[in-house]
Amino acid sequence: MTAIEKYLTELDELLLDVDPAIRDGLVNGIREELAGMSDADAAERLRAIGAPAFVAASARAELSQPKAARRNDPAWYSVATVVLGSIGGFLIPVLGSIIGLVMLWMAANWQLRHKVVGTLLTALGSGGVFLMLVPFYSVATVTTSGSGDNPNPLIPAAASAPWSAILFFALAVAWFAGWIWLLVAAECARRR
Amino acid sequence: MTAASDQATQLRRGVVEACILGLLAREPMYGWQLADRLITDGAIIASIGTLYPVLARLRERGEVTSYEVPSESGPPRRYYELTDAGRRTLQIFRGEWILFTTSVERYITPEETS
Repeated sequence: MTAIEKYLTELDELLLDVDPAIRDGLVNGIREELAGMSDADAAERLRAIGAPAFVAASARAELSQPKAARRNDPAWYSVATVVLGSIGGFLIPVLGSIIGLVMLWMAANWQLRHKVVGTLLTALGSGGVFLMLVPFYSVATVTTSGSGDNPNPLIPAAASAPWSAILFFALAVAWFAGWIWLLVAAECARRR
Repeated sequence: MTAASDQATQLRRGVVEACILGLLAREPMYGWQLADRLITDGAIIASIGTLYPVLARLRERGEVTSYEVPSESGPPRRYYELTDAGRRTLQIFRGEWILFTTSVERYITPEETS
């Protein structure tokens, strides 16, 4: 075992009970820097950063600090954002969805990925509610219009097939689940 | 630890996140590079061990993200860069910092005696 590997192994062992993402980030961060160096240069670098025990103690000291105060949205804010994003377009045509989007992007409890998903769900917005209704509408069409000898030109052909009803239903569930996911994510962030 | 060094430690802890955001606002940097700047240039942190828990917090808050760059000499290097959320946080901190330092300066500067 080289001196570098010995150092990194010792550091890794000293931090075994620490969040693996932090431990691996630290150990790999040091490994990256030393890669390709001569043993003498690497040893000099390691001397500069201190013994594994010192580096591990520094990490532990930082981890024991209380988290910095961060802005947190109240629960009503997340709920209002989800309501406006999902059905705001119905409550206040156009403006409701826009307000929902602004609130979504100003929220502190959602990360970028949540905001992108929220924007897509809002874009589906009114469409999402229609998606909820299409399965019932479609099934009703199939059961009342028979074999389709006399198709209604106002109804898309695809909408009258049972499989499309299932597809629309799946989309509607995904749309609904997406909003629930955002609410859960906001709640988790609030409790952290 | 003496009272003076304890004060310095507390002050550094209060600004280390902002310093990292400030450095990353200039260019994406890898961990060792960040630690080197924070230790050597400003004595903001005492050890590279301090850096990674702070980076983890910043990543958790979506203020910093990372990506790997292949290296010819060994494992890929992980670079850290600022997100839009990080830029906003830094911008807010800059405003607060000016107000804060101005106020503290006003209190601690010895009064001129005539």
